[in-house]
Amino acid sequence: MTALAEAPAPEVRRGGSPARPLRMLVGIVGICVVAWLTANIFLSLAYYPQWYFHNRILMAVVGMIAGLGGAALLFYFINVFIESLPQRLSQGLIPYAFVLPALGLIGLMLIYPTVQTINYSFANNDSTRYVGFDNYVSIFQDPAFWLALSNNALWLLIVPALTVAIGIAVALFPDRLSARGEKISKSLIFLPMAVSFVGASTIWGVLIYSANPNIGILNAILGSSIDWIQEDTARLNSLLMMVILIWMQSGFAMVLLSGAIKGVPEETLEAARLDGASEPQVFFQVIIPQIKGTIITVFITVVILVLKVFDIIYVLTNGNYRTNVIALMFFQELFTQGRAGRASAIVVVLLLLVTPILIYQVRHYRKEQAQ
Amino acid sequence: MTALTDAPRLAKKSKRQPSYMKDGRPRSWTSIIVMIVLVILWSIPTFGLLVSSFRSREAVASSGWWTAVFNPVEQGWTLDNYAGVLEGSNMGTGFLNTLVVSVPATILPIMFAAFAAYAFTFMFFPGKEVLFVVIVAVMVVPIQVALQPMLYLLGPYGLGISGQFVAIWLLHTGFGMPLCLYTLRNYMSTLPTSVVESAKIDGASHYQTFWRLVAPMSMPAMAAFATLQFLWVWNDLLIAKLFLLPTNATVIVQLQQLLGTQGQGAELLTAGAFISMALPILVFVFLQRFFVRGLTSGAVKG
Amino acid sequence: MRGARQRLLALACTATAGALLLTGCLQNPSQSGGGAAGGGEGLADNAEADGDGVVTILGAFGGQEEQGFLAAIEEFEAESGIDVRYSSDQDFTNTIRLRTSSGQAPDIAIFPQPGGLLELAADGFIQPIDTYLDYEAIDRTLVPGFLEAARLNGRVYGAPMRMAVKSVVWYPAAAYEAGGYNAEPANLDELAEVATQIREDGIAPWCMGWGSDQATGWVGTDWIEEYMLRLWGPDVYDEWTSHQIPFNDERVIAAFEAYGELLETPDNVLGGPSGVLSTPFGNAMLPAFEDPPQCLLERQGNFVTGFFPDDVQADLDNQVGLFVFPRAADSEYDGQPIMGGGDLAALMNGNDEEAIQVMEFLTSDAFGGAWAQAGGWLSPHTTFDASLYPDEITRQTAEIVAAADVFRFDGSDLMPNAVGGGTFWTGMVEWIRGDKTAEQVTTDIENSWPAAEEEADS
Repeated sequence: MTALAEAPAPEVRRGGSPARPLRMLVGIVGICVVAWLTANIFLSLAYYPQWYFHNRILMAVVGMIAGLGGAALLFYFINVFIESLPQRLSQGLIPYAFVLPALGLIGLMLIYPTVQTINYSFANNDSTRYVGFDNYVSIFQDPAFWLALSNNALWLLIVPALTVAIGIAVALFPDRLSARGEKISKSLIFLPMAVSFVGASTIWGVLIYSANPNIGILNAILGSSIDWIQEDTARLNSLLMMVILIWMQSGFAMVLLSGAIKGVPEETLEAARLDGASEPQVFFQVIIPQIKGTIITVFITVVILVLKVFDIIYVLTNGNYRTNVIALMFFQELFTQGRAGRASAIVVVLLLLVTPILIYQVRHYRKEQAQ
Repeated sequence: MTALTDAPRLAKKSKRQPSYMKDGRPRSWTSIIVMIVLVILWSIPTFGLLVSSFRSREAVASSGWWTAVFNPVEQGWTLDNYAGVLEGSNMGTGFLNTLVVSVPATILPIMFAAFAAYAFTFMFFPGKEVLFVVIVAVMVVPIQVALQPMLYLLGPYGLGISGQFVAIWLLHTGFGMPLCLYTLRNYMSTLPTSVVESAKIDGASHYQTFWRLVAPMSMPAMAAFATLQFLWVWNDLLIAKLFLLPTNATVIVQLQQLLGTQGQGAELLTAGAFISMALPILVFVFLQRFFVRGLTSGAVKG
Repeated sequence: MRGARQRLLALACTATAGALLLTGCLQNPSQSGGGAAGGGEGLADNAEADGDGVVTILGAFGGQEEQGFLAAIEEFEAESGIDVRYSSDQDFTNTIRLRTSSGQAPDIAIFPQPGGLLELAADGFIQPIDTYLDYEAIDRTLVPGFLEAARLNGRVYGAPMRMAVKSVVWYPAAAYEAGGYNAEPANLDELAEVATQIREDGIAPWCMGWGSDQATGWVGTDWIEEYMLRLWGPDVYDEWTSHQIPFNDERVIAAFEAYGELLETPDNVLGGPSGVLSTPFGNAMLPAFEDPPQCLLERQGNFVTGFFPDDVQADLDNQVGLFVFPRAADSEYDGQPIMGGGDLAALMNGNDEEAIQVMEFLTSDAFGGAWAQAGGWLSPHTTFDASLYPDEITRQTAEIVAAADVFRFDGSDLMPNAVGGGTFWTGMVEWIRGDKTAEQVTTDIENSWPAAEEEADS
């Protein structure tokens, strides 16, 4: 932190400052030492547990400190290094220094496998020979694929919108409760998020949707004995499984949205109220426009979650009863059927499905820059 | 359901004598009623699970949990499920392992993503748009496609760290990063740019602006993402079982190992679910102060 | 000019830093330099250390079964000084596949289905047992035909360490005997008569539950396999499971129809076809132990006793009765077939002497004493000391196998996973719901059979 204090005095000179070799050296040495030390601490944790007296708690603490401290120090020294460069160079480089660590990891763990997957989508089932567009032809001719796609469309139409709506409601209403009421109600809405997808699906499958009216509360209330999960008239079973996801994700929407709602300055609200606006008017005309950005973030996040959702369906129906979705179909193709080619082609279709979001993002980005 | 029938009565009462809360705000009956209904609806499955976790398998399979609540005699109450979980697995080590996995796997992606989000929001550099779009796009990629390459890279033919905590931190950091970056960038773009501009004029470097201004102001978004990431890591089974040695197994991995070949012992999972939920709930209650009135605006002013 | 030189300098610095990072790290001291598996000598190897006194095992069973397994190897561990580290995974089939190709296979894998074993064996990741075990000796004491399940291109790649018997019909002893029903039906016709009598007494004869989350359908496949064995005999059965006859052969459809008759006879099955689908298989038999019982018979593997109510489990011998799922009265095959399954242990680290020692023990008839006493475990060896089983019921199931004319492995386990763990399951669900006829379902499954020949050509 002392380094921050002795940061260079304001320099508004144009043309840039010269390089400062000493700081540059500190930066480079710092980067190397931190990286070397962190890596070796990790490896020693792996290979020489005796150094830590086989004490799991000690090893855990050392590991955590090394991981977090190492990352923080690394950023610090990178910054020192870059700031020591001549200003023009430094200005050009610093965005990359900020972006690269994150991008490097994403590149390694997601972009590289994605590119590989796109490549494999043109290859046969054990990815040993190119087969052109055969995989695409094969999935597009498969009625099961179109069924899954139509189910996905249904999920996309319903789940993100409802999640956001409920999220806003559970972010807004507790705001007007007493502090304790707010805390308790928010915690209870949040609770389902702490359950795993598989756990949640099992709970709902047995305790809510069971065909046995003695066990499933839905049938007990209605006095029927319908097997809800098998009931594919009007895709009822898909709708019921969406309820599970909404149940789980409302808490997430609430957390993000309530942060945003609380960020709306109290003065703005008061001003609107003094102008004679009713509460719904305040909500729709003042709050909503202010939190629009967050709403879109939540919406898109849930859209992406919906595109990836498969656990719920996997556990409850395994895609039977006309409930399959593409993410589960990908899973089945890859693991059950062992058809890497078709599975990869499905991932490519998923990637194409997010294109509208990407276009929206680019436009949004341009608008922001223009401002 | 009782909440609904009570609604008109309560509403009438509120008209007669407007009541106020301790902090002087008027009591909003609509909010109270809406929240009671929602909270009840939201709690039903969890409550059912809680009741079921204290009942024997045959009891759960023969009568509903509500029967057990309303008529609590002879309903097969038992602590066996909890005993079974605690005996069959090493929950102490499990919790420790899960914490060791979750805490860095929550903080690291936020740290990395926050820097990147700052750059994507407040800096200009060529390729910015393309990079951001790529990051949004890979959010939909199922992580299963990355399992095989990552197992190879981290495994004995690669770095040889598979099985250790480092490996799983790295993986969760990578897999959680796009969403974190996306959420944080979108949040940062709502921050007043004037603040950053004026800091620049004052001569602060980007690094200083980030630490002193943008990071504190983004606290709500970071806390929100932290909650999400923590829960996702906490409940993760796939990565944990593939990339952690059995001695490093997390709670969730240990719970699934209680099951027999044909799923024998599934009734233990009701108790297991509650045991594993305990800590995340505590974390939420702790982090909740980030979502309550005051903090956000305070940060903006500071 | 100066800028360019600076840039060059920066680049050089970055490169140096990167190189330092890559080279300055510790080496893994326990790395055994094992290359990719399936080398020229045909030695399966993983990247685990050899001869370090630790043998890692991955299996599909956890919970009480894991406890039993650990108890059974405790003495061996003490004597040999080998530390056996077992871990289980519910999703064994996928996990083993994912871990193997990156060198993270366990020393020994215990496969719940031969299909996955044969796949990895074909890729050279598994050591054939004849290279390190006494094949003749094992084969002599095993239930005949057991090793065939693990045979690929003439060589056997795994040996069983546990047996499951599926062709068993269970009933609640008191209620069944009170009804005076035939407790030893000699063939399927006599069994059908028993069912008629029970129906006439106002009880649904069959308890049945297929529900098994994502694996729903496997109970149905077991039934079809039982009928295939009984109606057409082991030879046709083998041709069917190895895809020498198409899946939609008329004999397969006949098996569907035979089972369909049992299912669709009114009041023959508790809850009817839709109830069957929504009942978890583990809960299927619970109504039989109610008073009065709602159903009486369940055909299911020996592991089902683990799902009986606790008080019944505590007193199996007095509360439960069983008989073998009988042969067909007039079919092409007149012997008594038994269908079952088993866990096959396979060696994935061929040059680890200790792992071989463990394999020798696991696959011998000396293994399993403590597990047998804990219950729910059957030895695949006919020479296993039956007095170690905890109760008469377990001994009876072991005798059923010993007395059988022919033993066949669960067919869906032998088929490729795409069928046996995929379309066969989903096909059964579509069929029982009446969404598709037996002809349509079997044709779908036939079309989903992986085209191995075509791949081999290219």
